[in-house]
Amino acid sequence: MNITDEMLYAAAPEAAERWLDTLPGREDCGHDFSLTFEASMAPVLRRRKRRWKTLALLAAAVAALAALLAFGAGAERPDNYRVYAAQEDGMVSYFARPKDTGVDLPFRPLTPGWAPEGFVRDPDKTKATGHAVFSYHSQEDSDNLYFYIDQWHGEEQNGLFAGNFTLEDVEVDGEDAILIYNPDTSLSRLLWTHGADVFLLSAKGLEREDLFRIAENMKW
Amino acid sequence: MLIYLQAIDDPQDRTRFEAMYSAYRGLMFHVANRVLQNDQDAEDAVHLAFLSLANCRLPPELGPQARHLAAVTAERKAIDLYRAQRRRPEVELEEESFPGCAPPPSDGTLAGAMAALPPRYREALLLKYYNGYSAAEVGQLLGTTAANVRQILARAKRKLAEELVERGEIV
Repeated sequence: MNITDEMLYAAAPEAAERWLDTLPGREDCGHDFSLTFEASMAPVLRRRKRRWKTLALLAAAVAALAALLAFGAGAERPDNYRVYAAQEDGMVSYFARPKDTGVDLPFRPLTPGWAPEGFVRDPDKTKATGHAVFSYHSQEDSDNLYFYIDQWHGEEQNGLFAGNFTLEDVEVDGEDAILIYNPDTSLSRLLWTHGADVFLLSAKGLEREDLFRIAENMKW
Repeated sequence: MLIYLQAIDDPQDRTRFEAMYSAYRGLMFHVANRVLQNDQDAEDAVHLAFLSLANCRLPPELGPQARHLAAVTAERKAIDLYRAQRRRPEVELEEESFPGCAPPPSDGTLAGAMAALPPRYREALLLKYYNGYSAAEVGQLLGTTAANVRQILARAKRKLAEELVERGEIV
């Protein structure tokens, strides 16, 4: 028995249709994607073309990224910074450096000791490793308002956000912090350090005072 | 991430990509989530799928072929993520079945047998014979080499032949 290419070409549309029929229709595929997903997709959606023109372009792009993370946006970074952020071409780069306490302290995951009314922790979306924890809260009756906190222990952190943000130097519990806010989307990010830990609070739709109250009421 | 921003403008590609993103990301999440059974992991798989789609030749318009491409890419990334999380990279070709991913029943026709193949065989066959991709393009979408895709296709054809002989279909 020999299955030829012609036979496969002829049968493929019906085979694809049968498999696609096992999937739900568009109206049954609703999902409110998380802020993390939206942020990670923003640079992809801004992408202008699917293929590199030359390898040299790729090399230049990688070099530009490395330069930005290492030197570019941080050209004015003070030597002793704890948190730093800069905005350029619709991208915010941030850097955070925990204190070197001189002691190898164990990692103690912190969780919010206070949350705005109606917000509950989603245990399914809360994850922890030996040196980092991700804690997610949302309103019980809506996924449109939420906040989540990343905590990293003993390691410098940096990253990029795509979008039109404002940057503001603030304080959390007397520590230097940066508030990054996008008025178009009501997305906020509050970056600060505490001892050997770096914290990044990300939120959608929360009031400014609520952000700080969450940040200043972390407990373990 | 900035490497995405360094590329050259191609409005047509961008429009196709954005159209697929708007139309199928919910479907892709659903496909990934029925494999992974975890919202956050499924979103990661969808993100990885779009990274693959950003590098491939997209159908000129939305329709069954675009829907198939989106769903298959998400399924593949989800299965790869599932295997990576369980440290079972050796489960390569046959792959286990996933909850909620029951294939359509085969009715003894070639089309039915193709639709009921294990995911990797079905994906490679349909990306080539339905979406019209080359082995290299299929490899890019499935995260493997063109040579490996040719092997997968050969095995898939053998499996199809075996299934049809078992069912008494004479081709």
